[in-house]
Amino acid sequence: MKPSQLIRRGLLLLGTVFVLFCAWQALRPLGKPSADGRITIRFGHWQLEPGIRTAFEQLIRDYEALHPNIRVEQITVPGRMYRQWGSTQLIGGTAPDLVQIGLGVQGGFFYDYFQPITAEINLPNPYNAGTPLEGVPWRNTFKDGMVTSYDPETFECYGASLFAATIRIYCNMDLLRKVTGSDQLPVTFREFQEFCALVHDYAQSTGEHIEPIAGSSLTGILMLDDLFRSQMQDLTSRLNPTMDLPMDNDEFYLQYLLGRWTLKDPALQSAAELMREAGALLTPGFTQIDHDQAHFRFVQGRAVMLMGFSLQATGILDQINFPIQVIRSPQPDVDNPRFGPQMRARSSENGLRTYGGFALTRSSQHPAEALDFLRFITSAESCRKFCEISRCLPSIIGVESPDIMQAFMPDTHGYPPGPTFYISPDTRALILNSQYLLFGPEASPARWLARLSQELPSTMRRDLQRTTDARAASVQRIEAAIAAGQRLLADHPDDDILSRKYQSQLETQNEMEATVHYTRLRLKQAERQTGRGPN
Amino acid sequence: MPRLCLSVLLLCCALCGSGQTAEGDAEIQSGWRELSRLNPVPAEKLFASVHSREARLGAALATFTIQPHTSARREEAQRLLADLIEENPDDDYGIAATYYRTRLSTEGSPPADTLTTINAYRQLLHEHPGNPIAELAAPKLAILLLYADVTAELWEAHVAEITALLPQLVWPATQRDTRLALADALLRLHSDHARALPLIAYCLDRDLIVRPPRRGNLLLQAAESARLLHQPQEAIRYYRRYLEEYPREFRTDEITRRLQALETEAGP
Repeated sequence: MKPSQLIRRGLLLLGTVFVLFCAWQALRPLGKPSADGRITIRFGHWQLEPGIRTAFEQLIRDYEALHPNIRVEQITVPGRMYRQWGSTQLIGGTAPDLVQIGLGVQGGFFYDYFQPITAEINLPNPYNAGTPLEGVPWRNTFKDGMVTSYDPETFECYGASLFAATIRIYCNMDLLRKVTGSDQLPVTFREFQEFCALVHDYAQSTGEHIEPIAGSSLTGILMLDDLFRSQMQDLTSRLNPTMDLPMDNDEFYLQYLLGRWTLKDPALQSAAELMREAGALLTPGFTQIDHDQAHFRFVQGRAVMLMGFSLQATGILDQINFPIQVIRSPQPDVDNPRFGPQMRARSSENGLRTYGGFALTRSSQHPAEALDFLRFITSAESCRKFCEISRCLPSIIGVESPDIMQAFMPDTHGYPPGPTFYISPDTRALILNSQYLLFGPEASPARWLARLSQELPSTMRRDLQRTTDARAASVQRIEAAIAAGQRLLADHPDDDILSRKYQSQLETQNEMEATVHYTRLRLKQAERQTGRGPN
Repeated sequence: MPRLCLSVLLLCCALCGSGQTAEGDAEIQSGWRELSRLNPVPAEKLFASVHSREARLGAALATFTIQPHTSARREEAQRLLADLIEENPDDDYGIAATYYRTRLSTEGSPPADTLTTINAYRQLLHEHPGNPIAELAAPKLAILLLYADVTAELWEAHVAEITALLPQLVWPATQRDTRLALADALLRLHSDHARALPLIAYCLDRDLIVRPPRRGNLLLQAAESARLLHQPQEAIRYYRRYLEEYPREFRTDEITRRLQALETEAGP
């Protein structure tokens, strides 16, 4: 055997051992008792960003100092294997006491594997004693009122988080100056196109491998979704029967199936044109590029811009030696003669929403202690400390963002963005699988829309049917809990927390049930109208 | 002496009985608490240890909720409910059993047909006016009637039936949900702002809507309906309330613009 072959085989073996070790670390059952007799509580998450892990370590030290009988362990799992890890642990009954919600560990998992905290969130957080939040119900100490903790399938609240996340474009200011000769950042889509053209000219004339924006599949989805929604503002505002803006996605699909808008509508034509032009500005083949590679190209100074999440900020700032600024993803302005007519204004962003809450597992051996730890980390003081270290956006009222993160705060100015094709699974898959017809060398908006016109009716119908069936199951699943609430309330009519929960569950059940019947009726009408059966 | 013995015996029986009742009550309460926290398995065990009508109602609901849903569990739940109804259809547990049997039958295999369900709801409301459980049938009836695939004429008859039902409802939650089901259908199916607005306004003005996201949507629906119906002062009132309650939302900027336009139009 040649020495090179030997080295290759050795490396292969080493790599295999490493992968197996990582898999064992992530999948091994947890819950060994602590050797020193202390209670051990564990929380698992996928936030591998360096600042976040460090910030959690600090909170763990603070909590253990307050509670010497408790030890807290942080378990970090790569995002790519989070769903497998989470489902294995939850189904096996070996999950940590607190598990971060998201990346596939959500929805259907709540009912069987997580403990609702709907009643608990109405009680004050004791760790806010001595602050302006003393005595305030826990849910009201969050900037978003804990709306993201609410699970529409079980009508219960699960989990709490101490940080929020937004999407921004990071810009290398040294490179921008070098390439364009100015500090001017693009705001509108047209300015962004001009900026990209300048970078391409510079790269061509100097031979340097510099690109305007480090494209990846994630960048593509985030940017194209944002642009698509901007083009739907006017159309869907005109068609929305309840006028509460924006039109929700289900209604958008139903209106299509009922023939109230078509792919020939100027809004769809305009959206396709805009997406094609935006795709041309991204790295060739961006749909196949991993976001980590884009991140790497940006921190190496090979791309002027990177689109990403605010949670990446610490990782980026720690790896670079150039100044950065952040901007929102550019959109056309309403004066743009080609894309402006479909818009009412630049899309607004929602207020700060918490992200990646930690939920209490049913298999927890120490639920009271785990809940106490959750209260501790979501107190105003812990949140302040956490965000200072991690440079995350804080979720708790009264806690200000670090100065460096002010540009990441949501921009609520503008008009609500319209619905999207990128949410529902089947329609999203159709869009992603057909985008080569929009971005390839022989692609065109007409070809892409022609493909959509063939498949959109069936994918939308499947998405609507799936959502409706899930809602119907939720309505039925919650029946007994509502009955229990009614019985308990009959015995404790003055219990405000009980009353609020019961009222809220009943209200949601009836609202959801009405939506189920409305959707089924509309689907039936659409079927009759087009003569197309369910497929 | 025999009288004294009998008295002691009766007293002992009474004490034992009261002890059993208290214990049973505690188990039933715990059973409901478990069920309210989506824990049907322990709830079912707690209910099964007591033999009162309330416990059997709880057992039926817990049995139906345990996953996986099997036809055996469904049938067992239906049987327990049927027994409660047969014993006494008119006490709280009989009424509850009737209501939940109707609810559960829509998920049966095969599901009960819609007309049977509609008639069961109608009967509950007719026979037990003011009963908190029977009244839960009101919004359910509204939903089935208003989203039925029927002629325009029959649909109007359904609207009339639900509208006539509204003054009879005494519980705030059912007053709210029946009105909102009607308002929603009027808007979504017919863009009928004139009939929808008073229904939404009733709920908003009495603070009956609990969930903040829904309250926000309904405030905007009320404001927009009022604007279209040329009631600028009403529209302004709802827009202002929306901005007070939701000052940092993605709709806030647009609503501020609309409010300013209306205020300018309405003058000082």
